[in-house]
Amino acid sequence: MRISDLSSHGGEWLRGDGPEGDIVLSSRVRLARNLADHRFTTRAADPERREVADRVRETVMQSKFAERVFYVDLEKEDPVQGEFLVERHLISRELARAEGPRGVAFGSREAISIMVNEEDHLRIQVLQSGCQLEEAWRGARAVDGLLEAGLTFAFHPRFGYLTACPTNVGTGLRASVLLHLPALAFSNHIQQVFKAVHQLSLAVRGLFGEGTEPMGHLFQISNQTTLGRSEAEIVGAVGQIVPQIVKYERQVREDRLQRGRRALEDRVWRALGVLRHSRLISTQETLEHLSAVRLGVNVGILEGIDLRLVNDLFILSQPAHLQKLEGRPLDPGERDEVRAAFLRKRLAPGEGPAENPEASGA
Amino acid sequence: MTCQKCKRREATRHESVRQEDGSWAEAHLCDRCAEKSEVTLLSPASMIQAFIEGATAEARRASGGAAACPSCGITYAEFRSRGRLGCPADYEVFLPDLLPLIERIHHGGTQHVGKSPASTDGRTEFERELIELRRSLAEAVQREQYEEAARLRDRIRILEEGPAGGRGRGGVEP
Repeated sequence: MRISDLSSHGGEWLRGDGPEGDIVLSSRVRLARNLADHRFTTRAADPERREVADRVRETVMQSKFAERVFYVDLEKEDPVQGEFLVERHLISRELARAEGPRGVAFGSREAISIMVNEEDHLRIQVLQSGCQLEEAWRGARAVDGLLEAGLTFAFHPRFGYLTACPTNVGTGLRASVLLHLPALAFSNHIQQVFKAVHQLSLAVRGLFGEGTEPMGHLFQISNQTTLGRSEAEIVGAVGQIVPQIVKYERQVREDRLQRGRRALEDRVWRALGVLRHSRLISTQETLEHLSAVRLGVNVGILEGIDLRLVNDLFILSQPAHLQKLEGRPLDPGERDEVRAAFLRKRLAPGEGPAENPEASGA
Repeated sequence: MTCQKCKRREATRHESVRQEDGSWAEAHLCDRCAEKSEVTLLSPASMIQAFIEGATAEARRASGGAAACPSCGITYAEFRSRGRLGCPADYEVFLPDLLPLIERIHHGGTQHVGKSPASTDGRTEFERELIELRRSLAEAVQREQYEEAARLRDRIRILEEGPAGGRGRGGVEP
């Protein structure tokens, strides 16, 4: 398989069939690890970074953490390839835009990825569909165990796993859930959620993590601290707030259906109309309307549109994916045109689940 | 890292916030400043000012004879201005300075709790995983959650069938 083959559908975590999948898109656990006998990435010069990358790559490929493992040497790839992997949540924006020896290994199902020479030598990430944080943690722990058989990680009896930034020291673990909260966002109840999240010392971010804008009413909630609590406690703390937010979002949805059904229907159908008929459409506008359509599918206003398709479109309509699909670089103006044509085709009436190519991965 | 807003307290909150020009960036705030502003607005100007002030203070401290780490050569002042340490040894070299910082960042946490490399190797992790999966399977069956049970059974089979006697053909990718 070539990486370009991925561009026609999203990773398996977008299936939308995980627990609470109508609201919780994905659960993610990442572990930061560093080799004990090397300087951290930002302090190491290229030859040392290359040595680290080679060593990690060798161990990662031997560990067989997935049935088929792909390794992308980002130093040799063009920037669109990097952005493409960012859009798929396989790597961070920082890694994509960095320079020098660095890469990523990931399994064919895209549930596990290992970034090499990001801020830390290794960033192990496990992504699961729906609300499955504990499952993700178990996966991350297993991968960590496999790699520890071949690599010696920097570890301190007091501070735990040592990281380039002290904000990650200890467990090196960040647990996060990606939530779709359109009803709360439409009604401004979302501020209440932010308040509760902050009171529990958790953080809110956008779709693509650090420093990114919340778009399409998608919010990522994660832990802030990594030292002094066990991995299970951290995962539990993030997981604990999810059912409450899910319940709150459902209540507001129910309330809208009871008391403002026409207005909600109008919003959803208009959004679908825009997506089905636009000739030029930006990423931002696409996500906004996809969010309303996704809500419409989940509350039963729209029938015959597959949730998986809508989930996929959140990723496939991003700039690098469109450029992959077209097979050439596109300037922003062209992208808006290509995006509009792409959405019209994928969301055309009668082009429901049958057109969805997910079967190839099953 | 000091709070970008009050420039006094340690930044303990790191989140995406909207800037005055409408773009989004990662902001670093202390608890109090983060609380005061529900949706924090930071002007680029104040961020630049904070950066300059921070850098000046660091330079002053550095010229006061800050020692460099013998292993990677970084000084504490350099770490403070860049926010990234140079190597694992820095945690020992700069311990007196780092300890209060770590304590604030992690809301009082200064002792690692949880997984350590010594407690695991590839095999035992897998064995532990298998034990846990089998236990979850038994529980799922007891609760009559058959869909869940089927999923767990598949995962157990993948782990068991591995040629390495623990490492499944399919790896651990869920």
